[in-house]
This record gives sequence, structure tokens and C-alpha cells, in this order.
Amino acid sequence: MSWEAVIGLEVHVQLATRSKLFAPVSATFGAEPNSQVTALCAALPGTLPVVNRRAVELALTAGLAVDGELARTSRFARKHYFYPDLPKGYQISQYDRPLFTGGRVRFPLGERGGWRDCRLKRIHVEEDAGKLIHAGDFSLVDLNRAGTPLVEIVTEPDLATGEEAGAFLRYLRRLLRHLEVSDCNMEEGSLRCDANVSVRRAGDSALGTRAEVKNMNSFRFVERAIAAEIERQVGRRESGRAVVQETRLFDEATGGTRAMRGKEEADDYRYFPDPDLPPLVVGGEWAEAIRRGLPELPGPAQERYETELGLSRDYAAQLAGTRETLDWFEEVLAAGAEAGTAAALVVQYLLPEAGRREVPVSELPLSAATVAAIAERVDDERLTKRLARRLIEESLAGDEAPAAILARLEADAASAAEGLAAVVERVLAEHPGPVAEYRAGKTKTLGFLIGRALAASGEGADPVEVRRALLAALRADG
Amino acid sequence: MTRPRDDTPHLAPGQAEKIARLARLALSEQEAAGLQADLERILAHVAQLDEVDVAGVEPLAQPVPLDLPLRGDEPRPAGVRDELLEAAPDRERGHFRVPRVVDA
Amino acid sequence: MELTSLDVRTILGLLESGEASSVELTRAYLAAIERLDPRLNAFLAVTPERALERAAAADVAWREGEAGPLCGVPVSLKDMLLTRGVPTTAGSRILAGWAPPYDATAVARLEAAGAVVLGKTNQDEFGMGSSSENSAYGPVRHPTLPGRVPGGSSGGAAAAVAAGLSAAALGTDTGGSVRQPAAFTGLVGVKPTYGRVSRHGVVAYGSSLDQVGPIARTAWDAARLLEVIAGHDPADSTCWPAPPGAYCAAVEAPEGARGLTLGVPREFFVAGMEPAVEESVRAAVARLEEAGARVRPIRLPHTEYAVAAYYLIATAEASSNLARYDGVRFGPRGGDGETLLELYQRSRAEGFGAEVKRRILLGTFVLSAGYYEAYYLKAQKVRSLIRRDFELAFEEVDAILAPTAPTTAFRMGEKTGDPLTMYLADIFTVSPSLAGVPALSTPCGADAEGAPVGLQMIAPWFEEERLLRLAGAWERVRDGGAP
Repeated sequence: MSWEAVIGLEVHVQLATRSKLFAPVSATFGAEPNSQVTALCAALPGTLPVVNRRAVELALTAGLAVDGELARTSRFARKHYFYPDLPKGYQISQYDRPLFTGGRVRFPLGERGGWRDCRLKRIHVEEDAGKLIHAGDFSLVDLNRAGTPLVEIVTEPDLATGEEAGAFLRYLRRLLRHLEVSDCNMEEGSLRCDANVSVRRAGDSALGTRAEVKNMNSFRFVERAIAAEIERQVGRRESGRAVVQETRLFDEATGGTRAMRGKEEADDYRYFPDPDLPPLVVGGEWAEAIRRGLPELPGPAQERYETELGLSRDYAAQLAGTRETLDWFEEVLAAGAEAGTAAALVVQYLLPEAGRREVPVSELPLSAATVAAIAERVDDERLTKRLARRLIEESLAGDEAPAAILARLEADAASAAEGLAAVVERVLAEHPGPVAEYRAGKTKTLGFLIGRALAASGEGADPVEVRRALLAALRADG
Repeated sequence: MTRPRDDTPHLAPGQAEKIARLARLALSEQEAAGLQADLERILAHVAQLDEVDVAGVEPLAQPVPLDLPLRGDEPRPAGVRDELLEAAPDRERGHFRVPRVVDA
Repeated sequence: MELTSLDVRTILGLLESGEASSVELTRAYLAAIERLDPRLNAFLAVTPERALERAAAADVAWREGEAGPLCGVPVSLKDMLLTRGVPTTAGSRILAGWAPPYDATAVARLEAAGAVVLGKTNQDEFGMGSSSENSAYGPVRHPTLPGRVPGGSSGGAAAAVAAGLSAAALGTDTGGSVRQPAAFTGLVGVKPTYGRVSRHGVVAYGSSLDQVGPIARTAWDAARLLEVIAGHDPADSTCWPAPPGAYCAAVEAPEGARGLTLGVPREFFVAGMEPAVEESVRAAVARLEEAGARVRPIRLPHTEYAVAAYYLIATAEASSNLARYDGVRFGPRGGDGETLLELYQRSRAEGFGAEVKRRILLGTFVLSAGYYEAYYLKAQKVRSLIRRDFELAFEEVDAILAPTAPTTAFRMGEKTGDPLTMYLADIFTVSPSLAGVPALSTPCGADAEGAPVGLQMIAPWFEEERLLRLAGAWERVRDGGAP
């Protein structure tokens, strides 16, 4: 009797604006406590919210990028609960008329390849709460983060495993960074995720009772928490006990989930449209301008690299990994390079170097055109991969122009080639026996001859070059 | 003036107390009873709205037709930190202070 | 003529000609406050030094020809309006001793125009009431009618102007809180169109209803104050994006009432009204007709449901707007609560008065799960119908005339026993608030004991100029001048 899990995610993402959602004050992470707090953030009497256009723009960008259905008119609503990090006693969010409904995210599933689709239920804009730190029998309230703009992305329960949930979140982060909507940094809390998990017997259509799992602070913990919760629920069902609808917290120490204390009756949020904020009307031109301005998204780009350019999942994922890398690699392709070769050069030599220098690949001292030129030479074998690698490494290291390096390297190669021809001749002359056997068809002796030639030509000799020169000589005199 | 027309109870017994907890208001026994009676009578009067046929009527979104104005994304210094903290009834190390919050 | 009974227009004339100085005028008002306010309890805070400083500056401005539109005029502000550095309580213990770090937009504009703020006036707590008996700082007394209320919730503002303790005042009006006290004290009180005046820095009661409005001795004075405080404010997303109108000029419009069609709604003359009120209002209507206005009966069919709809919507918004008062960030904190829950419950229980608690409970109930559709949503639908009544009426008429309140100033304690009868006192002022239309009250007579009767004038959205033109015309008719 096998079970299947049904998982939906609620993801909160902090929008990369310069000021808060309703107050013109900055919200940079890590400032001195309560130093980025206006009268509005502290919910003083008489204060009124004024909406940040950039926050709406970034929310529109995210929603349009996932094919969400835009609500031409949406409303902000008040969600009421008492908590010290929520100074107004209500959070301004959206309820029955969110900015987007629907939408879809297509994401790659791990190394094995393959893509999954996860439908979205809605995307809405809301404000973040402040932060609490506990000190003895007190809690201390810092309202710096209160009022920071968020989008909440709620998925349909289309995910089946913790691993899938992790893959979805990793792609969502990549997408939102790609769009510069958010930096999605889970440690700083600019991306937070809660999961709704239920299980049912394979083949059942009805959904089992679901539990909400919270307090997961990394993708790995999301995967482990969901897996643990699935296991717990299956365990209960198999021993005939019902799953209780409740909120559970992931416990990093035990790796399991436990029920949250202190939740008396369910919260009654008493939503109603915020009378301080007229309806948000998004004109057609604004939405169209944003849609037209969307760059090629990482998912479709990676899928194009895998299918049309035939690149491996790993290479495609890295080359479409960030917006800079994708845009830059597109330049390399546009300069006429053959995809496979260029991809290999970039992934093996350029991306690691960019990583070491902690700069985008586009800021390495090697233009896309040059890389394309190198790839072309490698393709038509005017340049071996080893030589290409040295060319790239040397151009990255010094300030010598790549063309000059290429000329020098080619000259060395040429002189090496003459030297090599002489060595080959000497070796053939010194070993007529194996030479004759090779020509008589016993090609096995070639290995012995290569060995001798390599020994004779000293270190730094390129075995591929040596082998090529030997073969040419063997065939020529035959 | 209009008479309350409806005397079926609108509140369950002790409901005023439940609402008070939702609204974080500590009520004495006697206050709760008094408020329960007041609410009951007000809701009896309000029941007259049942007569109004609102079929097909949209709830009023706002008194005057106005779209949400949007402001630029320019942060300004908050500039009220000291006044805020000074006004706080209890504070510690630049934070507002409250009794420990019991959560996870 | 006592200095402290002059209207603003006369004051400005004397200041301009130099016959009087703002310092002299301000001293006279401060002395009157000292003499009369202990009995009236109209003021919660008086700021003499600050007032005299600004009066001196005003006198300099007059001498240097840089006088603003209210330069040197001593005014008072209802304690719902935030004043930077000056305690602002909204008539509640929960804000006792709290001085805001910023001014309300309306206050800033008033002071930029040169007005001299004498202090903050007493009111029903958080604007919730119709008699100013719900203040945590004691009731306000009617200045001329012993044992009667000045009306509410801007009772202190009205009493101050009527008793000569300030030349004019700002109040706030959610369901009639400027118009009704003006009617009870024989003054002019204006509730602008919703969004005409910024709510930034105004303690919120019913966010979709609240408006700041002037209380003054004449239509011209009210018009001048409105010209100063109205106009777009980017700090309030519900504030109408347009500059203020030429309200003073409108008051003096020579055509007066001629050419205006005025509607008199049948639903505003109900059983149980005080006869003197009905007679005075009908007499005023007749005199305006003589002065050239066309008068015709109209229907506002959903008026009887306005009080019920108002109390569901306003209390729902109030329960939300007052959630921030939790004893954590400002104001007094409730007794030594061990837990956070106790801190909230005690701070709010000790900080709020009975009427505020009643409305918070009603509003919380109205929004709570299972009741939202039946109560809040239904009330918002009825509000649409009330608004449509006015739309249809204004297709037929230019303005509407009605009583401001069903009675003259009632006795203190008369309605405090039963909240419902207090609510019903607002029966004629809540429907214009729900519709968002501008409305004012102006005196039109008195009962046998001299208790003033208010005539309510209602105009279409953003037609404050037409409203004040009609008010000016009425004053001239009433006071025997040319119609």
C-alpha cells in the first residue's frame, strides 16, 4: 500500500526596493535597531500608508514572468492579529482581490534532468512585520523590518516530494534574482517558505488532512522537514490514527516536526478592504511595458540549451545560471562560436575563474568575441584544447592582448612542431623493427613508438601532437 | 423614530466576552454582562437592514472614485528614532520591550 | 464689542489696519479661557507661551506686508488633530501625556497661514459620541444653555468658539461631529467632501468617513479656514488631487440663492422631532424661496437605514484603527501584567472608556468570521444605495436643505444611559457622511428657551463653493440683508 504526498508552498519574498512599501524610509538589512522606523512604521496615531510604485512594479514583474493572471483592479486588505512585531495590530495585505491569480513555474529537477510544472494559486503584495529578540523574561521589538515590501507566492499542491519542493524553491530564487525582483537570501530572511503537507493512498483523489510546516531556514531544511512530515503522517495513517490539522515547526536538532504550542483558538483575521488605500488599478500599458521588458527567463533558456544546443543538464544549468552569465554566453554564441565547444571552454575555464574573483563572467578581461574566436580555432583544430586553455589562462592573468598571446603560442607550437618532426624521424630511424611491424598492420606498436618520442622530446610535449606527428610520418614513408 | 423591530437574540450567551478576548479587552464580569446587553439591543436595531433588498448591489468600495496614488521609491531618513523610543513606556537597548512572547 | 466675540473677517480687518494687534487679541482670548474654561471644560491643553510667540510673529508679518490668510487669528484645535510637541489625547486616557513627533497636515497649513493656536479642545473619546460627555477628561458644558450638552464629538471646539474662547476652530466629523455641535451652539460647521481635506495626522476613528472641518461664527470665516486646510496632500492616499476652491468669494456671490434649485427630503422630517426644529427649518426654506431659490420636495429613500449602516461601518473601522493602542510603543501601559496578553488586555481596558469599548466590541463582532457578510458587507451594500439616493437627488436639485439634528441641545445625562438613543441623535448627519458629500450646518432660529436650531445644507461631491454660496446667501436673508 504505497502513499503519495501532496505539497503546496507559501513563499514570502522581500522585494528589492530602496524604500519600504508604505513609508519612504529605507529597509536595508542589519541597521541599528529602530533606526529605520518612521511614525507610520511604529503605527503612531494619525499615520497613513502611501504605496511605493517600485514595489508594485517588481510584483508585476514577478507575476507576469510566471504567466499569472493580472487583476486589473486589486485591493489591499487588513489582516488583524495582536503581536508586538505588528505595531498597527493589523498587517496590510491582500485578501479576496490579489494582484495575480494562477500562474505556472516550470523548473528543472536535479541532476537527472527532466522538468516539472507547478501551478500557482495567487501572488499578492503585503508588508513584512518587525523582528523580536528574546532577552530573559522579556522580548525586544525592532521595527526596522516592519513595512518592508513582500510578495507572497502561494502554489497549488502540485509538488510530490521534499526534493521537488527544494528544486522548485531553488529555481524560484534563480528566477527572481534573474529578474532583479529580490535577492532571495534565506539567511537574511528575504525569502521564507512554509509548506502545507498532506498524504493519501496512491490513486486516491481526495486530499488528506494537511498540516502546515513552518520555521525552515534553508532549502535543505525545507527538503528534510517535508520528508520528515510525510513520514510522520504516513506513520500515523498506517497505525490508524488521524492526521490533525495544525501548525508544526521544523526542529533542526531532531530533524523532525513538532506541534506549535500556544495556538488557542484559530486566528480570526477579520479581513476587510483597507479604507486608507483606494483600489490599485494597473493600466494595460504599464503591464504591457513590463511584459515586453522581461528578459529571456532562466528556465526556458536552460531548456533551449539542453534541447536545441544539446548541452548537458549541468552545462545548461550553469550557463543559464544567472542573468549575467546567460546574457554573456548569448554574446559568445552570437559571435558565431559552436555551442558545444564554447560551452566547454566557458564552463571549464571561465566560470570557475569568475567564481574565484567573485565577479560576473562578463567582467573577466576576456571579451565574448575573443572566447568565440578561440572556440572556433579549437573547432577547426587550429588550436588544441590544451593550447586554448593556456591562451585563456594567460589572457586572464596578464594584460597582454589575447591576439598577441595567440601569435606567441602559435609560434611556440610551430617551433615545437619542427622539433617534433626531427624527434619523430630519429625515433623511426632508431626502431625500424616496430616501425615495420606497424606498417605491416600490427598497429599495437604505435604506443611504444609514442613513448619513445615523448621521452625524446622532453617535458611539455603535447601527447596529442606527438601522436599526430608520428602517424603522419609512419603513413608518409609507407 | 424607528423602533427596534426584531427581538430574536443575535449573540450567543457570553459572546461579548469572546469578542472582547479577540479585541484584547479585559472586561469585568459586570462589564461583560452590560456590554452583552448593549450589543444585543444595537444588533436588534441594526436588524432592520435585513429589510433592504441589496440583490445585485455592489458594496461601496470607496466614497469618492479615486485610483490608488503611487509614490517614487526614494527613502528619506526616519528622523524620529529618539522621540519614538522616549515615548515608549518600556524599552531596552534601543528596542521596545514587552513581556516575553510565548511562541515556538 | 468685546474683542473675543469678533468674527475672523473683522479681526483680519483690524489687524490689517493696525487697530488691533494679534498679541492683544491672543491675550484677550487667553484671559477668557482662564475665566470661563474651568466651568465649560472646553480645553484639554492651552499653550499660552507658544500662542503669544506666534501672535508676536504675526504682528511683525502684518507690519511687513507678509500676512498669510489667517495671520494672527487665534484658533483652537480638536484634540483629534496631532500637534507636534503638544500633548494630543483624542479625549482618551490611553494617550494621556503623549506628545506627537509631527503635526497634522491641516494644523501645519493653518499655522503656515499665520493662525495662532491657543490649545487643544475637549471631545468625545476618539470622536465616538454626540454630546462630548464621553471624554476621559470630563464633559464639556454648553456655554449659554445651563445643564445642556454642546453636542459632539467636537463639543469643546464648538463651546470654545461660542463662548469667545477662540475666534474659530477645527473639529473632525465622522457621522456629524462638526455639524451637530455647530447646530447646538448656533455656529457654522462644515464637513467637506470625503478626501477634500487631508487625514494625515488626524487620529483615525472611521477612516472612510472622517473629515477635518472648520467651526466658526460665519460662513465667510468657515470658508477662509477651509481654503487654508483643503487641497491635495500626497501623504494621504484618499485625498482628492485638486487645489482648494475660492470659498470666500463663493460666500459673497451676488447671485446668492437665486437660480439654485433646493431639495427638501421628506425622510428628514420624522416623527419625534422637536417642533421648534421643524418649524425653524421650514421657515428658513420658505425665506430662501422668497430670496429666489426654487424649492421642491425630494426623496432619499434609504435614509432610515443610515444610522444602522453607519454604526456597522464606523465601528468596524474603529475596532481596526484602535488595535494599535496596546500600551507597547506610546501612552500609558496597563497595570503590571506578567504576560503579553495581560499587557494588551489591561492597557486597553484601563485606557479606553465605556463607549469606545462598546464600539470596539461591536466593530470586532461585525468583522468576525461568520458575521462579516451579514453585517459589514450588508452595511457597505446599503451604503451604496444611500450614495445612489444622493446621486439621483442631485440630478434634480443643486443642493439639499434639512435639519442638522432632530432636537436642539439635549440635557446632560439625558442620553448617556442608552447608547442607542445617543446613536439616533445622528440620524440626519450620518447619510451625507456615508455618501461622502459635503455638508454644513448654519443657525436658522431657536426654540423657546433660546436653544439654537441648525439648518443642514448638503451639496454634491466637491461642490463646496456652491455649498458656501448658499450659506452666505442664507446669512444675508436671515440677518435681514439683501437676499
